[in-house]
Amino acid sequence: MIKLLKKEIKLSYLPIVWFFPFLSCLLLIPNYPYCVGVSYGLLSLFINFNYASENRDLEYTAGLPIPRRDIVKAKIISGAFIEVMQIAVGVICGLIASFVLWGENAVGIDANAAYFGFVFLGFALFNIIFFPTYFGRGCKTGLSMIIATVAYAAFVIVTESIVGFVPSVHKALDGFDGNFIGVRIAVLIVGIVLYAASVAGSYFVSVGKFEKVSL
Amino acid sequence: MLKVENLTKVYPKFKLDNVSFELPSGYIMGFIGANGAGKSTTLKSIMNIVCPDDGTVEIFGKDMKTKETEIKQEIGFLMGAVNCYPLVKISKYLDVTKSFYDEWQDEECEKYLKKFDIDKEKRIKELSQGMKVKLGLAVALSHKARLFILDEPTSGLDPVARDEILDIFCDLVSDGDKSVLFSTHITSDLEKCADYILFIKNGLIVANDTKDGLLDSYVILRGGADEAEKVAGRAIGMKRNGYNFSALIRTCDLVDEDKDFTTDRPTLEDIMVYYGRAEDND
Repeated sequence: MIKLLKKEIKLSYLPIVWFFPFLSCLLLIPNYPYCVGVSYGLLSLFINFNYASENRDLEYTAGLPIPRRDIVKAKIISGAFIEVMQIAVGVICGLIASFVLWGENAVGIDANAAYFGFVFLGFALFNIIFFPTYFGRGCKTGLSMIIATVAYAAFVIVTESIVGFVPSVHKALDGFDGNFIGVRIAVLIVGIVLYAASVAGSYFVSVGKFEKVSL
Repeated sequence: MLKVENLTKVYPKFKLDNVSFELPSGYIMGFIGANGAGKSTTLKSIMNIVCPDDGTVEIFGKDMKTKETEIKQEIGFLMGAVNCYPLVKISKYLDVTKSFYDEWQDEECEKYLKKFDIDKEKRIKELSQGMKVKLGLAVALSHKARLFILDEPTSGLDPVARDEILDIFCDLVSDGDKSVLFSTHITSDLEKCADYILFIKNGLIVANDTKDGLLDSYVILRGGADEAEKVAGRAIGMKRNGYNFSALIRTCDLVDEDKDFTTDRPTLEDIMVYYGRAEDND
């Protein structure tokens, strides 16, 4: 597996993938919709997977002495790595924006624990749709990306709307009110757990599909 | 060494139909057929890149489905030219590739890179199509493989390079424990080095024999155009114009009256061409 991950980084990754996490620095802009910055992680994932397809990555990998399930595992781990990098930079920038620079955000949810919980949940939803569709279609990015992005965008709109317009939810999940820190941390934990489950789940579903695909 | 039985793959517009053949140790098998006949699909199915709907593939006495990883360690596989990762340097490509093979031999790889005049510091896109084929061959030859499955390994190469590569194939099988299965359109290559010929047409194996056995089992008859009907029913394929005809028929289908015609021993190319003509004649 380590060999395959090294291959992903050395051969399959587009060099610009290392730049994309820094787009989470958009969280440093005052009164900016925070959902935008981290979403670039998914664009990075798409560009990267598309770049791999264009470079006939699968044609190379399929001839190697490795089981098909490992191809899936390496791709999903490399995809999750891109997402986590994006979130990690987002967390740092969110903390700086909220506690050093600007405080509360007037546009959308603040960069608090609940926000990052929702980011993990959104990415989890994306993963569970994108990866099985991508591998089921023989590593084709187009349709897989469209379906997964629409679902992700719908999730972001719904969560931002609920947090923004339902007063009780707004009070609990937006801002930095110490009374609700437990709720926000709970959202974060649920997000992380479901994100991890989405990585594992999408691996198992994808393997089942990919084993039957003719490349 | 390689045993393929009833390999079947059905696509909406194409069917690989019960392909069966065996390749013993120490031999070279040439795989011929027109474009779209099913050569690449067969080779990919053997390698489990295409998932067959039915059939079995046994390599080194092991089932490919259950022992794929283990078996692939000992297969030198080439699917045409190396067209992946065009921006990557060859040295980096080789560095990553070698990590997957337990028996990778740096010296062998260096030997072939030198022989093929490949500069490792170049990027893959800087290589010509022929050089990309050579790079793939260098990789296939550098990890102590026992079976070589090569799709169009001589395509895009100049005659000198082709001859060089055919010599390498002959050297490979000379110790008797390695085999080569390669597809090609260049039938003269097969006439130089192949022991067996596998001929596929529209997904169906139409000939599987030793090279000499195959060439002996067909004959070309030539005669005047007015006599063409005498052989038309037995002909696999026929060419005719206003003055004369030529037809490929099976040796076993010859009759006494055919003594009146001129007969020729066909080449592999003739056999392919006349089989292709069969559809036109239909």
